[in-house]
Amino acid sequence: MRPLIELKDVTNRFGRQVVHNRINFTLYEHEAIGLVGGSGSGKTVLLRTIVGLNKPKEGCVLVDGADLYSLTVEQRLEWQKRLGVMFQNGALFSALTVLDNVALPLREHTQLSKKTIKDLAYIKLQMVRLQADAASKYPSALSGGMTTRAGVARAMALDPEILFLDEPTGGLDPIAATSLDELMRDLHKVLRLTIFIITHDPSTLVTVCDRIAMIIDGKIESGTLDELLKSTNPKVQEYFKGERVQAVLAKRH
Amino acid sequence: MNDRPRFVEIKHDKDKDVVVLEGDWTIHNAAPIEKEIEHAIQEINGHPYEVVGDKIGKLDTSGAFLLKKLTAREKVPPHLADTQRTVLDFLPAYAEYTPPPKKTPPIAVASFSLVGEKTVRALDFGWDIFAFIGRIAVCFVSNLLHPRHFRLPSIARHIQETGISALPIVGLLSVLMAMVVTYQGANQLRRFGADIYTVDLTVISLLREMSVLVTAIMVAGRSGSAFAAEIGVMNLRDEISALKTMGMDPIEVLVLPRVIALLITLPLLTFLADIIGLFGGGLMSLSLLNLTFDQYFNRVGDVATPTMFFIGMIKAPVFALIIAIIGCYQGLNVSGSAESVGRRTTLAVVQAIFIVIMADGLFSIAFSKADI
Repeated sequence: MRPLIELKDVTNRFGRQVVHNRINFTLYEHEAIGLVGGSGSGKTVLLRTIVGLNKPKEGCVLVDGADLYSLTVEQRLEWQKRLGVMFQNGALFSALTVLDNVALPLREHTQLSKKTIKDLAYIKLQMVRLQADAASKYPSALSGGMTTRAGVARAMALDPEILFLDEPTGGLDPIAATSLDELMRDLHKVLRLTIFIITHDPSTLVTVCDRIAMIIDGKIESGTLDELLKSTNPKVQEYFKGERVQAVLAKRH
Repeated sequence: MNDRPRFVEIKHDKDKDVVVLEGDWTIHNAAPIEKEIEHAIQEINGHPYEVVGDKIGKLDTSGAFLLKKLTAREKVPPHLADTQRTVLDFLPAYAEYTPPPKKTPPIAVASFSLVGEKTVRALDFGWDIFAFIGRIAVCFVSNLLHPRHFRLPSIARHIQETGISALPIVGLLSVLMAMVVTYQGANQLRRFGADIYTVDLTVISLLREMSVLVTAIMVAGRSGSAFAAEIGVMNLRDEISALKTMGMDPIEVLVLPRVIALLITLPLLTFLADIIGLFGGGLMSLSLLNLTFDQYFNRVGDVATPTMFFIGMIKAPVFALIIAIIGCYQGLNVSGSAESVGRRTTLAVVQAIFIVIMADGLFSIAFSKADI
């Protein structure tokens, strides 16, 4: 598999608190990776570092072999179009309708006709199984699950190669969470997207992810689920021996 | 050269047209593909047709959408490689987006209802703001009975932010304003040989009107907007609801400290503006009227009366109430979107300044009736 993004000795700290301590990590093409770790372990900071919002204090982020934070403006834009990000809680633009939220990147970056953009945005909303009446609503009128779906649809607007999702199933009811898991798996299997998911949800890890990365004390421990289950690291053990994870694993064949 | 289509090609067979697709059907090529599809649909012009897409390279959801658009009329599915068929099947059927119908009443009705809505809204605003003032007053009185409920740290913070941080800008502004008034006055009065009355002009206009008005406008811009935006964002993030559920009155926790802080700082800032303004006028008189500082301040002492000073100062707390109440009111009425924060903040400043100037006019009338 071809490496898409490589973190080399990435260190992040805020004041004297070290969040990431010389992290080395590679994201490969066409894989679905789940990032786990306790609250405050720096998952979101790592995501922000990878998508180019947070320059690491030390080390570098390589995309196609070039340092992300020293790309020219044009190269940076080209790169940015290849990834879609769904932030925690959607980060939908509150002044635009759901349809316009999805249509905005299309208007900005393609020369399609206005009508086609609307239809295309609409089909993307249907793709994430949002109902027709949600399209004309404003984000403040959406439920949590609908907001997440709209966020995914907007992240998918420009058909990115890599999709980053920050806690997509957080705060959803089990049925909504399961159908979102299915959606992510389809995006990964059918459209062959590379998916990077921050999650606390064990069922997402089991059903969607090929590989799991875990942040422990500023370092990353990664491997397939089975590899991590056999890991001797006490923190990894603690995580996977937890009741909630065990309950999901028990259902796995 | 480029006339030859790159993605869509039509071959005319005997009984039907064959549409052959090639190239990468991805978002990068979406715009040219869209145009070629339009041409193709025109060229086929209702004939039966068949779509052959085996030669398509990459296919993403945007490409699949366009492909669906091309085949929408013909129920026969296109010939595709297996991996691409799965992408196509993954997408829901092609459907045009039709926005929900908006009822647009005839213009006569619409204009009537617009006028009505605006009137009702204006009346509501008037009613609301009085109710709001009432709630603040009730809260203030009940806090007087239980003085421990006054939030001293919060009041201190707002005195810092609305008062102490505003010192430099208010000081600078009042010097400049006094200099301008003195300069214009000296120029005009010199023609009548009445230069010395320039000092009277400066002193009276500063103490009675200008200092307090300019300070209030400055504070409305600085702090009224800050109140509206702070409370507005808290409102958006449900922090106000959280306060209520914890049994805390947002009026007591958020509004009253701001009102009290501004009641303290605006008179102080006005006093500062008076003093610094008089110095500014002095500086200008020094160069324009050839007065010494001693002579200038003697003259100031002759002209300025306690009544004059207090006429200016009495307005300050009233203006403070107007600015703080409107700022907090608009903040508490933010709803829904970031846009609403902006609109309410603008309203807070515009209404505060407007009402401050109106109130100043009313004061002038009252004072002239009372002959002071």
